[in-house]
Amino acid sequence: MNILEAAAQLRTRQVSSVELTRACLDRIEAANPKVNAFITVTREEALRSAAVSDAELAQGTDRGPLHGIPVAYKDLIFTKGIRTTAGSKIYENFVPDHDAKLVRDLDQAGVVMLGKTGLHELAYGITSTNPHYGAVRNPYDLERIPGGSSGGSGAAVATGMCFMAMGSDTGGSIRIPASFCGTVGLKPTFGRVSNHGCFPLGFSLDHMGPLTRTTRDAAICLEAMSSLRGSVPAKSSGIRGLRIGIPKNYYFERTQPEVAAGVRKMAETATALGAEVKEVEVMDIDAINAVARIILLVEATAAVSQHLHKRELFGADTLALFDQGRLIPGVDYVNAQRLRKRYQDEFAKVWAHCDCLFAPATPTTAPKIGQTRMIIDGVEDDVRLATTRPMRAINVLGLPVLSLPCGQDPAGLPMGLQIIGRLWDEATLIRIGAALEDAGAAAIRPPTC
Amino acid sequence: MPDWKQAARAMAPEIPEAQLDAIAPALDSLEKAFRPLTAGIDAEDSPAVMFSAFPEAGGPQ
Repeated sequence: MNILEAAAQLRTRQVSSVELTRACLDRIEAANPKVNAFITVTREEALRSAAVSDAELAQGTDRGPLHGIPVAYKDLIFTKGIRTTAGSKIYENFVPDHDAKLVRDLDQAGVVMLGKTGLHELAYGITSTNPHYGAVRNPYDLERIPGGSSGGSGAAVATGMCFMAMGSDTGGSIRIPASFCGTVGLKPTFGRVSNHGCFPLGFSLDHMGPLTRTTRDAAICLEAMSSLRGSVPAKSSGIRGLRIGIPKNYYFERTQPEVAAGVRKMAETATALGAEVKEVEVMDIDAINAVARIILLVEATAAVSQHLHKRELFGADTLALFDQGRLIPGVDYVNAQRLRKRYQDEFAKVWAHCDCLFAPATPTTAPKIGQTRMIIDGVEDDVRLATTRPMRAINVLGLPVLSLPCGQDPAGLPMGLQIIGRLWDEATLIRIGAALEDAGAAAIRPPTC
Repeated sequence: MPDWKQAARAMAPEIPEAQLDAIAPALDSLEKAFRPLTAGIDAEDSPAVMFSAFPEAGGPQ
């Protein structure tokens, strides 16, 4: 069941919020010991909140499609009175005295909070193999990573533990778990959703967004957290006349052949639905990625600099990145931000030829837990750098991206398509994602765990 | 390539020698990718980072 279906059933009294919440809590009880998606489950608070939602609906107070819907928050999003660890030893006992802005917005929309989802330590990595709170596991293969850093959110949505889980994306952290876990992930335009009350990783790169089962569900959540309105498409809205660009350079290089084929199949479906699909050339993405790495290394290190003398509190992989960040000169950081502005203008030239880009979200399906190297197309690479290769540039540019499933590889592991759009044009991405889903192109088998 | 060990001695002396050996290749590779890009920067290139006058809303929405 997705959010729209649950919302309809809540209004016809076929189901209550308490029943939906109990069902999610039962799923958490059954599946969380296997996948470790949640760090904290707020069972009693959730049931109390669901009862209030039911009472409000019974009295005629309807807060909209999220009223009474059980959701979860990545554990770097402040929740008043509820421990918020950021997946870090540093914050293991941190209890915020206020909610993040987006939590207040979603509360206002009537959601029921089930708890806090696991993540890569301080959101600084793509595995969610957390040295302090345990490895989050991929529900399609428990020996594999769910992606990260919002790995718990991806695993929780994929297994039906919640209808939506919030994630954050600094260099792919919504799109990677969405791709590896077979969910929808929506990284909005930079600044569309407030990150006030969220632990920072990259101050100028962090984007907050939802992971859901469908594109329309993601749109509903995005609207509740921003001023965007009217983005949820009707069944019949279609995509006739939209121009979809397929990058002929960079994005399909060093990509697992099944993933590339899955993305191209989605483009064929879009063509059949009336879109105009054509090859386009994008600027040098490696250059943007180099700028992205400078900016992130410095900003992330600044975010925890007051704790870095306590080296024993950090995992080895994150500490190595923080140490790198300490050695980047300030001049390089400023110059990276200057190049960023120039690249933003240069990349935008592609929009003269298309309304959005179709590209692989992750270049492969989920790697194994503990795997540090991978070979793609005959090239050996570091798992983190290879996985973020199609991701990082988009955070530098601040563009909105919708990630959705585009099939499963022969082992049954989900593959992801990312649809990249113009600044502030989430509505077009949502329209395309919904049309592909309506055509059945994004349907995949659910995990068995 | 910069001498990362010398830089660490000045800026972050608590980073152990072994860790510097481990992270140097990543820094070298980033240096190789980034340094040539800076050659094209001119005086009119201003940084992309913006001051936000909307701390609660996180910018224009």
